Amino acid sequence: MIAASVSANAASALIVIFAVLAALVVVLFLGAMALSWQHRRRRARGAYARDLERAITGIRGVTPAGGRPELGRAAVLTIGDLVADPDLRRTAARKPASSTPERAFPTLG
Amino acid sequence: MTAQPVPVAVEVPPPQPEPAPRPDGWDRLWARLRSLFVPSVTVSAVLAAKGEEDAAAAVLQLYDWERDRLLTLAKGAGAAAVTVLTGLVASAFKAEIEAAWVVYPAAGLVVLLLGWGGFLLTGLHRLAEEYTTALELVR
Repeated sequence: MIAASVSANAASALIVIFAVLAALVVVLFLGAMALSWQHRRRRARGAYARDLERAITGIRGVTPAGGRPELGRAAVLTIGDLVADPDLRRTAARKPASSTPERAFPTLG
Repeated sequence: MTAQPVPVAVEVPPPQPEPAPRPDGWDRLWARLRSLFVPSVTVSAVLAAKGEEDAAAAVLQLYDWERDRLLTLAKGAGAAAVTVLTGLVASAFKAEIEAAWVVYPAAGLVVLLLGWGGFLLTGLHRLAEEYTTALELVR
């Protein structure tokens, strides 16, 4: 009888945990949607394009030696953003001011 | 007659561009949350691969990792949905849940998890579109 009671309580607790998890997942989805809206708005206003252009054309002094390209806020851009926004794609495809790509965009690692 | 000072050309350094503003906490949070839903190979990573000897292979590797990550996430969401469903069915047999209303959000979790996994799987086609764009960038 005690074992049955413990088992029922465990099942009940499990369902409560699932309900809490559901609430957390909903918060996660809503948070992602809100931040996605902010990201799209910023992209539409050209904030990322400006950062990207600044990093690519005036690469000197912006890219630390031996480091990854410093894109500022544009570091959150993904290739998906370039697919969605042709202007960003053109900006990203622009040749850097530096003569060799190695200097402008140091290698991985 | 006094000697006139010879004008000396002073090299004025060109004005340095101001560095772009750093990503703040919200930007980093957004980058993390986005990676839970859509392919998230960053422009920064692809541009860094540009200097590699075989940039195309580096980009392929990036997309290989991304596909594995998304597939693993989708499978995990599906498995979690099955676990929750099993828990619900098992507790239904016990029929001793004190607050019955908690069953509904728990059942909703199954739908959310299945929807999440389905969204990830149906969004995998974006990898193909993005891969060609990434290749254009490194060439």
